[in-house]
Amino acid sequence: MLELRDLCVTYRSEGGKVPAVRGVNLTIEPGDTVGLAGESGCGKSTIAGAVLRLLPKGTEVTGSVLLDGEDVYAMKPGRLRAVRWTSAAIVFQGALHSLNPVRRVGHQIEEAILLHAGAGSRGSVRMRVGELLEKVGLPAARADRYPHQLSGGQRQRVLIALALACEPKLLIADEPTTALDVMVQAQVLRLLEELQREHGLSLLFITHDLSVLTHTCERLAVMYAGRIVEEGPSSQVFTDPQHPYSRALAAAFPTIGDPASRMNPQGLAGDPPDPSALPSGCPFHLRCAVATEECATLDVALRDVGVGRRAACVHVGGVHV
Amino acid sequence: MSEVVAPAAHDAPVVVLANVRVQFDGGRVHAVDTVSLSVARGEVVALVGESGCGKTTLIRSIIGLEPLAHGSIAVEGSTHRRGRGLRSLRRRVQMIFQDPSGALNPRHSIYEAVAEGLRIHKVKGHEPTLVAEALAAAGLRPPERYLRRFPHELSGGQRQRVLIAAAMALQPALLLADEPVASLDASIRGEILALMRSFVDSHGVSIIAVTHDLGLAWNIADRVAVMYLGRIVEVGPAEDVLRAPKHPYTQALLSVVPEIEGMEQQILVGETPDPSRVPSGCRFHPRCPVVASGEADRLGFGDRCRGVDLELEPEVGAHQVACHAVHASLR
Repeated sequence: MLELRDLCVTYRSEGGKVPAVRGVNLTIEPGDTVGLAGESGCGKSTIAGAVLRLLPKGTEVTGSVLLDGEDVYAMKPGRLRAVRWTSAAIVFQGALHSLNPVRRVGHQIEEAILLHAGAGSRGSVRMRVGELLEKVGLPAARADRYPHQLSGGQRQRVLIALALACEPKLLIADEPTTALDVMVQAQVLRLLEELQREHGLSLLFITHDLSVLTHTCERLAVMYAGRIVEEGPSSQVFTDPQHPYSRALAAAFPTIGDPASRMNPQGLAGDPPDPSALPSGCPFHLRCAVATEECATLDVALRDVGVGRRAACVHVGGVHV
Repeated sequence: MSEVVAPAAHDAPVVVLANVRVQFDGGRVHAVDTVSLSVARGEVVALVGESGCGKTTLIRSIIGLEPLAHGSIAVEGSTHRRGRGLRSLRRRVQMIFQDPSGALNPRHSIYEAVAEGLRIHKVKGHEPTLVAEALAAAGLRPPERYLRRFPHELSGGQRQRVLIAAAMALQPALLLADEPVASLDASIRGEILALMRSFVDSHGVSIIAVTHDLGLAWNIADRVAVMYLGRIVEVGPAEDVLRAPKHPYTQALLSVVPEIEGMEQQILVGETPDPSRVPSGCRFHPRCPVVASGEADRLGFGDRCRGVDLELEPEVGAHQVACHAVHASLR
């Protein structure tokens, strides 16, 4: 469905080039649910933008993005427009900014259908809008509302309806629940799970919240400083992380009832690295609890650390292979 | 500090809220509706609930940012909330916010950010030393490296540390923290929570942390109070409330935390109802799974759920719950 091959994305800024994504390989088969986790600045949202060529002009992209086997970066503008929404659609966080504040939400969904699917009479399109809203748990009459008349959770549902408007096969959800309350977050997550199952959607779920991903996705990739540092089945990555960074990230989400985390919040010293000034060797070594001398100079690639599991750390796996 | 604390006062609560009501819109909206809560010295209370439940309004009322429609708030025994009383209140109670970038003046250096409070409250001592000590205590070491920097040069976690330093420099008795880690990255979150807890252990400060993050409560809180539509519906020791929740609302909140395995998810429909239209009876009844499943009617207290408003009643020890179902099962 989606294949990223050695994807590198470099932004241009006043201060020079900023490598945001540095060689990511990722494959999503039809019906797969894959979670991409990491902290701000690790490059996870850049990947979302790169898949549909939504990055700012002048951004360097190398490697390839294959959508259904077709290179997205070789597509002509007309083909690209056809592929967006119909093959793959994105749900962003911050629903208030993604919707046009002065147009009724129903119109915005209609527009997407008319522009991209390009079929049907006005009446049938309107019916379809009603169906889509009901599918995401909103009454069809909400189509007449403006974004500000809806709550945060309702707006997020409208965005999901919008993304589903042209029946995409791949849904990319970039922090779709981050700004929402716990209960509303649970509602939206359940909706995504149902839609995924019902339509056989492939899902690429991007968030910093590892615990949400474990629940929703079968596979999990953890990113640090523009690279995937660990990947594998999500429950294993969460409960038995191999890379020291994934371990710290998993520990940051306490298990309620677990005596080990009671009165004992776990964090990671230091801040995520600045992508324009990455440390030498393993980019994590300055914050790593188990770093040794070689980590300052040696940058290892992902390698097998178990069945279907890979990690990029000198201290795991490697020796046995 | 100049205050002389009488020996008996040491065990007295830092803050006592009695039947506090805060209304908006000329009394049409009951943001906080009859809340009583006291916080002991050195105690961390997590105030949890969905947005719109009144938790932020409640802590704003403690520091005098919201006028009380009814009830009283005593901070270290004083209920004075005007003039000198307000000034002393604003020193003894400090607040930190969710978004550290918005709370810092972008044109003030880190030194200024911490020194401002010291000047306003005329704290005695050598200002540069106090500022440096405060930054070091908040984990910004060596402090000299930060003094002349500006907020935009720091990371989110560092900015939150600056705000904690500025608050703790005034040696408050009570720290109000409104979603203190919600805008921070996961790995930074634990560090900031550990820092807050360390001030409790070293300085004996009390904390009321407003959050929707139950993991935070498990990480640092002694006690948890759950708010729904302006009321506390369950309160008690963190272990009891989080491991054996009694109120159906608390149970639902906990069931949707992804980290808890083996708990059947109870996703409530709809969002927090509107505080200008509080339902009759138990205010949670329109969303309550016990009422919706018909169990309340079967067991004969459904009418009470729909018609009789209720208050917190002691359950076990310090654990209090406001729920007809729980009260009925006790009898």
